[in-house]
Amino acid sequence: MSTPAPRRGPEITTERLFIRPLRADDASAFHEYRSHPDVARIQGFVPGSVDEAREHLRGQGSIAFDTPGTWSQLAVRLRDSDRLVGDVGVRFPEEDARQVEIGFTIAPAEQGQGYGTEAVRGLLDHLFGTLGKHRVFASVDPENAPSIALLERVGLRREAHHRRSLWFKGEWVDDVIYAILRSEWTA
Amino acid sequence: MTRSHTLLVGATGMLRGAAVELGRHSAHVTSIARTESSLAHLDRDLRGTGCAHHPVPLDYRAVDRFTDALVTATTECGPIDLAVGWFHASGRGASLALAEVLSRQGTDARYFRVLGSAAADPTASRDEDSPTIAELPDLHTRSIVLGFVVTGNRSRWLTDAEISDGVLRAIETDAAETVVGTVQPWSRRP
Repeated sequence: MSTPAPRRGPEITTERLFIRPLRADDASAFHEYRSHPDVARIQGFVPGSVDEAREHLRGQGSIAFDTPGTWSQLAVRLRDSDRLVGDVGVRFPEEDARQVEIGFTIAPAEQGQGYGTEAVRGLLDHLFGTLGKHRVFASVDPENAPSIALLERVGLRREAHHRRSLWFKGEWVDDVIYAILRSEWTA
Repeated sequence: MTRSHTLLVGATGMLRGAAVELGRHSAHVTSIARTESSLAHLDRDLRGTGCAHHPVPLDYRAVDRFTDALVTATTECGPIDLAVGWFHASGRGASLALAEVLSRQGTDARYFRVLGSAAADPTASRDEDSPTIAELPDLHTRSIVLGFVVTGNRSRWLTDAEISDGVLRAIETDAAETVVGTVQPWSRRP
């Protein structure tokens, strides 16, 4: 008996971006910006080499999108050149996948052009409009002002500030929770 | 109609369909783009269209190098009849440099500037380059604004095919400004 193919991730088109599941052939560009010191400092997963990035992305390809208990990462590519400029992630919690966590990374060289905002808006549109999710939330370092500004720009509200609540890169750190409900997104 | 020399900037992605069609009606096509792999993809697509394709991998934000590449292209393939350019906000200097090179040719070239929907934002300030480019002699500038599509109570962004078709239609009609899709009402922008 053959194993059913995993559900393919979404393909989201925004004005300047095309968002689709990350693939093994994204490994080189993915490794380049993910290993940049400014990104590695705030991201949990930092590939040590292009090969490691490729293995990670191969593993991603076997995860069905919208499966409780998983993270899915999507490539953010420019529509005009097909260049990878970052990625967005979605976590579907085991306990209740109607509420999902998002994350985002834009390559340092591509920041400041609104790609992150556009990508997250497109992702929210998909999560609420197509998948009918109830709530989307994000956990962010309170010192990460650009990410906080992005979340507020797209309409997420600050819901909590947890003190020393996260063990991250060898120390307890604060994290701030931002969230938005489907009723707020469609209002 | 067969053009002598068509220049494409930023046409390796969503404008690729238009690029291929323009290749069928041009003796020479010079395409400038930053990403070599995308440029190679366009090069494959242009084979068999009958044009001589000259891909130039270059980041147009390096305006001096971009200008040099344009001058080289006109020296090697003749004056540019038609230019289609999609520039990011960070490439406005390059768009102006392109217009100046076309103007200096003195051949009444046509320059189609492909612009994002923000160009039609009623709350935004005017594009500072437009008056400067429009005043250059021996050059006809046209604007193509990429809007969106409203269907019922939903709206969405244009597909690649809709963008390419719209750009080709704008070149054919030669209107000063063409909106692909719509930008009205602005509140329905996705």
